[in-house]
Amino acid sequence: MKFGVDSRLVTVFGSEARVRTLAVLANARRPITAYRVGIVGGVSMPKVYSEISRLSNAGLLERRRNGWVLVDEDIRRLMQRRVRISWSEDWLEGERERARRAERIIAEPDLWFDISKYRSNSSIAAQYAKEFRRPPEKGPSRKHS
Amino acid sequence: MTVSRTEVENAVASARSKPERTLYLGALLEKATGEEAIVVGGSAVEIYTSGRTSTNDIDVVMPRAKALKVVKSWGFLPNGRVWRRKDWDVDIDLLGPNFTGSRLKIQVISTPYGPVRVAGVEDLLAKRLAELKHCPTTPLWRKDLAKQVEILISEHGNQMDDEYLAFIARRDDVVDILADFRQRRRLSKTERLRV
Repeated sequence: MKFGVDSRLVTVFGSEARVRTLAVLANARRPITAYRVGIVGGVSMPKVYSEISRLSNAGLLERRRNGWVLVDEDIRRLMQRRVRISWSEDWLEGERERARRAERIIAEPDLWFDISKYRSNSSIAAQYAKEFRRPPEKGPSRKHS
Repeated sequence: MTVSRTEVENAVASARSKPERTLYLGALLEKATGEEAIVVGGSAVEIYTSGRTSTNDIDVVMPRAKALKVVKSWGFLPNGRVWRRKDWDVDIDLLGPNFTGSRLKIQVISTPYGPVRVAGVEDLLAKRLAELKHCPTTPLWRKDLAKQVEILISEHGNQMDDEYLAFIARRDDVVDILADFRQRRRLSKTERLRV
């Protein structure tokens, strides 16, 4: 099933295929082949090749040994914020390193955080009450211990 | 499209981590039902935090009727609201079709089994902050929530849509607590650079 893209971006960039192509390239953590751009972005191959050729001629993409890279950092940042599309191999790469960084944060002392300094809002609490309530069949959690 | 129990079992067996397993199960659910499946809640946070915030249940927003038949055919057994496969230590919680976050912020991840959608990091962050600030909970859970927030900001802060985050932070009355957490992560980075 295809993912939706922000219609405002289609207006800005001129075509949905271009937005999808740019989005996949912007979210990639390494060079990516045109074939993979098409598969991940849900764009037909002829359209991907034509978009990549156009974007490359405009100086927005560079060809590396293993594929294409988006070299315009402003477009990369915009796309990363507006259209999020990655592939699992890329997403999971570096997971171990990210996990190590997370472990460091978990190990940091949390003495700085004092919940009593914030004033809770009962109407927001009521609004989210159902969502935050853990059903008993999910078993015990640290929420209840 | 039919997705056999064997295909699901092979996918789960090939996953090297819990977040990867969640991605595969979400993608296969979408493939099998032809309906959009969005991973939300703790399982979505786990995907963003590389498995460092542990949860055993996969919360999925999708229409329930077709999904119930599918998870049943995959060997999940009903346990109240959730569907459980004990041998995998996985619960699937099918939450129905109403997604409360922004569709434009959804992270789509293409897997060998098709795409899977994960709730946007801004929505997950704002909900954790709202729970921290507005809902009374245990000290242990509060500590977990605070760490989740710190990891989300630290790992994904640069990719967040600040405009949208500011909007939902105002809506959920968490502007103050968000600012403190962001300041805290900025300070930690500076401290590390000094060392």
